[in-house]
Amino acid sequence: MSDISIMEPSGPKPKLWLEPSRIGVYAFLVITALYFLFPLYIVIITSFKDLAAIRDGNIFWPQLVYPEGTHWYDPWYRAWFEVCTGLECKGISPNFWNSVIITVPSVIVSIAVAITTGYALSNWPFKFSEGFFTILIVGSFVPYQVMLYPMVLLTKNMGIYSTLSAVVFVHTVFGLPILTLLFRNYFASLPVELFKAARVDGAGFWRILLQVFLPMSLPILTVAVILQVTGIWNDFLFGVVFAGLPNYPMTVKLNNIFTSTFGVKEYNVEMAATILTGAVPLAIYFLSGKYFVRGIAAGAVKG
Amino acid sequence: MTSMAIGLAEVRHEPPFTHLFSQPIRLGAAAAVAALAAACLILDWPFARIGVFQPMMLTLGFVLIQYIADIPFRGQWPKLAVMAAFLAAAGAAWIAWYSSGAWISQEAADMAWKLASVGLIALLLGAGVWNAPYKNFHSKFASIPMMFIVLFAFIGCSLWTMTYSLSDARIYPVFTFVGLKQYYRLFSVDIWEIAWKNGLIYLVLGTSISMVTGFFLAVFMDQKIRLEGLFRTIYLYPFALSFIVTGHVWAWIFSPAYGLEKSVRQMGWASFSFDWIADRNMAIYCVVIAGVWQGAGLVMALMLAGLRGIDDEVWKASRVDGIPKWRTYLQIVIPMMRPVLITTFVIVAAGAVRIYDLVVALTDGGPGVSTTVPAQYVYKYLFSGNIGQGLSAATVMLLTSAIILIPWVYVEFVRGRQQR
Repeated sequence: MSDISIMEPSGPKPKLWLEPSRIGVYAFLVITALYFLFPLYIVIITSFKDLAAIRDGNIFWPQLVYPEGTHWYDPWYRAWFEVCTGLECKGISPNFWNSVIITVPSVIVSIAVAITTGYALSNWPFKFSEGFFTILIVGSFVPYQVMLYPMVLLTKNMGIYSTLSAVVFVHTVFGLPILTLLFRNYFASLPVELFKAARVDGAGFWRILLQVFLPMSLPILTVAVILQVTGIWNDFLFGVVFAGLPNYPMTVKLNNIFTSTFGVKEYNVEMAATILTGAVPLAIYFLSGKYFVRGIAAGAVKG
Repeated sequence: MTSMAIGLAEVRHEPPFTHLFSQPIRLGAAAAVAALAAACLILDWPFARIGVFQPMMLTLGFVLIQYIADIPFRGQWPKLAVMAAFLAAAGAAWIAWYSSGAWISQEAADMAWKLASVGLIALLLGAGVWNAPYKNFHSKFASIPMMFIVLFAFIGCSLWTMTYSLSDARIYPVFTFVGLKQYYRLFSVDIWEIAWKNGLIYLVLGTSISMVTGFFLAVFMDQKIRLEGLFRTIYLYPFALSFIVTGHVWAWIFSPAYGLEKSVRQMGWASFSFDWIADRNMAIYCVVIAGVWQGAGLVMALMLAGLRGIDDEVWKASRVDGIPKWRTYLQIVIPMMRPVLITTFVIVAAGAVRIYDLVVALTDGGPGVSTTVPAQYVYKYLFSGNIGQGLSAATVMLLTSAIILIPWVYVEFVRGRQQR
């Protein structure tokens, strides 16, 4: 029970590491945690095996002994520098940089647009502003496939289809709803006196944003950056449709590695490439802790 | 004219434009231009020679001028001049486009558009700088990207898709009206039947299992346990991964030749069988398992936030009354969490409708076509020369998500607003 009610003796509750009544709770949590951890474990140990160990061995056990001349990191090296898709054998590293090149401007542009919009909506409402916002939020739940083809035409007409700009544009468009919600709610939660004081002191729209609100929004900016970096890094559909062949992000390349079958399938290299693709968002996730949770909860729980 | 929300300055000059046209006329004009923009968007956008995007932007710009810069200029001439230039450029673009460049060359129209758009921007900026305290100009100006996205990306693109799903467009998006033919065809194709059934299985099973698992995880996490941070990190990390990564990871585990089946057999359980991924009837459930693995953590996080929002007094009261814990959850806490439950459901279900990457990575629709999902069907037809067919499938997806969204929109936005 979450709290000690008045009828019970006061003072600190004696706490055992495992009270008998709670074994069930912990058992449930540990078993489910194992289910969640299991795939990560399997993939990591597979990525360090050689092909013989994969063929003959068991997926549960790691390979401990390596034959003469081979190293435990060989699959990772191949995945990063050498793995082929079609005739191109440059590994996944060029696409890692593509992902970086896509992610950085997309994150900056989408957040810059969203922070202004969120600020305008929360502090300077105008006629129909709530209506626009409602449509924006509802629109974000519409399947992307509905808007995919018109967006292709739109970017073609803008002359940016199949370029980096198109991906940045599309990520800005589809990232706007959640980010705007995030910033709008955050700015609405700031004390209104702050805004009023700045107004009385003669600050205008942009000055309040840049000199009063922006310096205060570091926590929410962190949340937004985490949300966008993971989201954009993990995107597949927009990358494959809008980026164009030379700009394919890592997720698209990873999928191509799996589907292009030339010669022997190198499962260990594929798994290493998989982990490499997931590494950036995972690292962000593990380092950011509660900010990530805050980001995903922002959409559902009104702040 | 209505006064600004935070009005500090008195209106220094009577805005001339509002004298020329009364409010209803201006609203009517704005509505007419908006309708024109919509027509442009729906009917002509894709066949543009010089890019219909430009006249579209012009008409949008005209609407925005009406709307944003309710401009009380010091003199009406700069504004009227820019407006006139603007309309001339729009006209030139439209003529150039309809005549395929015969009457007005496309380069000239292009140039006119560029000049007019510079004029538009100058006008908007000028109006803003000049009359900053008026009419909330900066806010509207800052919201132009959002308005653009709402009008053109969300509303416009959805309307376009619905309209063209009634056409016979194949490789090029040319509008020839054929009524519901694409839909008749859609529902007579075997792959679509497989696709929508799979979509439904994933939607129902994936959503319900994620919700239930996530809810139980949240309840157990809420028991003042130790190492809560660690458990939360473990449950939520799959959500940080790409669907592509998730799909390939699980494909490896499911693989009969290398994965779970082989290894369990090797460990001595010779009759163990787990080859769902190679089984036409079971492969979609593999997708569900992988999807739940990725999505349950999200539900857990949202539910936990909801549970933490329940007042401790509720628990104390139920405890004083001697109500067992499970009944408190079932009959008090869950009803209290209804808003969170609904929102979580909408997020998870809307994600399930658009499921695409996971299937591409996990099974790529296989074995055969047995795990094709609607999004794959749409994608396949859109980019292989049968646009109308793909768009009709996309419209069906849109309607499916509308079924999920409309009750939520009603509860969240319409009724919620009335109560406030």
